[in-house]
Amino acid sequence: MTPITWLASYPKSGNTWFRIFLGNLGTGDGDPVDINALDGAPIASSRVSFETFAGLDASDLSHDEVDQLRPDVYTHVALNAVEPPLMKIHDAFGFLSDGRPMFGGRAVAGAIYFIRNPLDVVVSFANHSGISMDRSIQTINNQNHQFCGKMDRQDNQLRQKLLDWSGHVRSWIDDSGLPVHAVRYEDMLDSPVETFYGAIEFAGIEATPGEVEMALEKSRFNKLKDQEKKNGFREKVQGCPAFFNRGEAGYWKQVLSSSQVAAVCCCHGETMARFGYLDRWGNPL
Amino acid sequence: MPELCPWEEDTFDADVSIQWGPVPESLESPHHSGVCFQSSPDLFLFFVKGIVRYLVTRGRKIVIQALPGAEQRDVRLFLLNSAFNALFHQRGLFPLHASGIRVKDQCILFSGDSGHGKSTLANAFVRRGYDLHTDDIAVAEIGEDGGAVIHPAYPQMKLWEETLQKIQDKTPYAPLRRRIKKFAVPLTGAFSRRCLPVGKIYVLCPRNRPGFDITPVTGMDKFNILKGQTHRFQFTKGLGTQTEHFRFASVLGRQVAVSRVHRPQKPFMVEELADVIQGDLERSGLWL
Repeated sequence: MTPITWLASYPKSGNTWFRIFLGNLGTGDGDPVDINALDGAPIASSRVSFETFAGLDASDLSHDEVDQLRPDVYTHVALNAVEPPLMKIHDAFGFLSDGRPMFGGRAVAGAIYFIRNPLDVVVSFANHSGISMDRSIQTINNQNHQFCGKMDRQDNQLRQKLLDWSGHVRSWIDDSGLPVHAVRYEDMLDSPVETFYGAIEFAGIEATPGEVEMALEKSRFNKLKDQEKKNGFREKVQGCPAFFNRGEAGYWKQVLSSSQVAAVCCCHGETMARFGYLDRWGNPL
Repeated sequence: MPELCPWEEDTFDADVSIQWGPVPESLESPHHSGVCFQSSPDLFLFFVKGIVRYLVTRGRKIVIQALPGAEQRDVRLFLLNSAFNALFHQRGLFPLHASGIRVKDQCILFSGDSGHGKSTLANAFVRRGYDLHTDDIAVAEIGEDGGAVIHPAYPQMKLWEETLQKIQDKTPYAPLRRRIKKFAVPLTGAFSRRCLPVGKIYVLCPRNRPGFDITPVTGMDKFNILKGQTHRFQFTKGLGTQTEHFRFASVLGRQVAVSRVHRPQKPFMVEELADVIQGDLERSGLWL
């Protein structure tokens, strides 16, 4: 068995950037990886992957029945893996009614958890989903938030329970019982070589700091933006003007009203303070 | 089996026997296994925890053990999908993940991953007056003359509530399972009952931008698509039929035109998609 390392995050927190970096790692001085041909770190909620390992149609099962099988699916992923698998995941870490962890056990080595200032997540998620800032705030404050949870149609991914933003963070960092390496998006921007190097070291990927620097250069935000402008990006939701929008820290200061900022801080202040997103007086940074 | 057509031939020699009986929880030395299946060259065990187990043997026999409390419709649903798929693989048939309609006495197939719109599109053509040939699984075979044919399935479609609402069909269909809003839509009359040659295969590819286009697929890309669209290809691993599948994909690829059809993810404009495909068939001389 070759255990999985999760690339876990609430959406819009740097996961895709990291996967593109991984795609560029070890490619020497060749061209940057095509963002539409990323074959590493598939998403854990893929319906196709579930059906391949389970041997039945997810659409013939209820969401709860699918959840019961997901731990076994990841065991089979680990059993069939040739190289240590990395998988992207947006689900919050959860447990089944019989106490089994959905994303833990022998099949899992640990998780790299990407965390970003929720005020920037609000702005980025609003752009990504084509929704208003207020609706985006409602979403990250919603403890029952989930993707693909409708009962009357078939989505291309399995249901993912995200919880609210703080709940998502705590589920992985505090409650999963897994070895977790937390990575702040802001550190990915400010100290990229150290931060990315630390993450791949945790995942057991060998690379020199020079190779990390080279992969980061190929994964620079403007280069990704140019690729998307030229060829589109298949992971973009239809209606979103651009997946790679701004990619900076603190843009929320130009966009959110004071009442919108308060609505986020009121709900997530404790977790924000813990990860350095509030100053000592409780003001957002 | 209320879903299947009654036998209308004079002979009564059954190809396959399906019976109730005890089914083991596991195979002794499976060659390959997944979460809900184990397989070896002659045996295939499929199980849905707490509901049912099936043992499929040499393409000739399926033994079913329903577990206490199992609903008959659940037992039939999983039988008609994964258990039958294993049977097809054992019999040297080639189940493709596709729905098909009859046009000019040929089968036009709509292939693609789950959720890409195969059944919804086939239903749009049924509403335009064409016969359904198969829904979701298209069982192919190389006939005696070397040509690929598609066997008819059974006169039923599986449609989600959202699709039925969009087409304003308010018929109170039976749900396929208790907790799932997917319904068994029976077809009376609009069903083709004999083997048909394959006319063309369209691979449905939703994308995140507006507009439709149809792109012919050739060479290795075509071979890989056909291999990838084999339904439950993973079952062939333990059954030892992978080589035959590669050969089939290669033969089918030489005979049949395959095109990718790109459509917007949202909204699913099924009538516009059907128009685009009908136009392509007309240009190919395959339409009426």
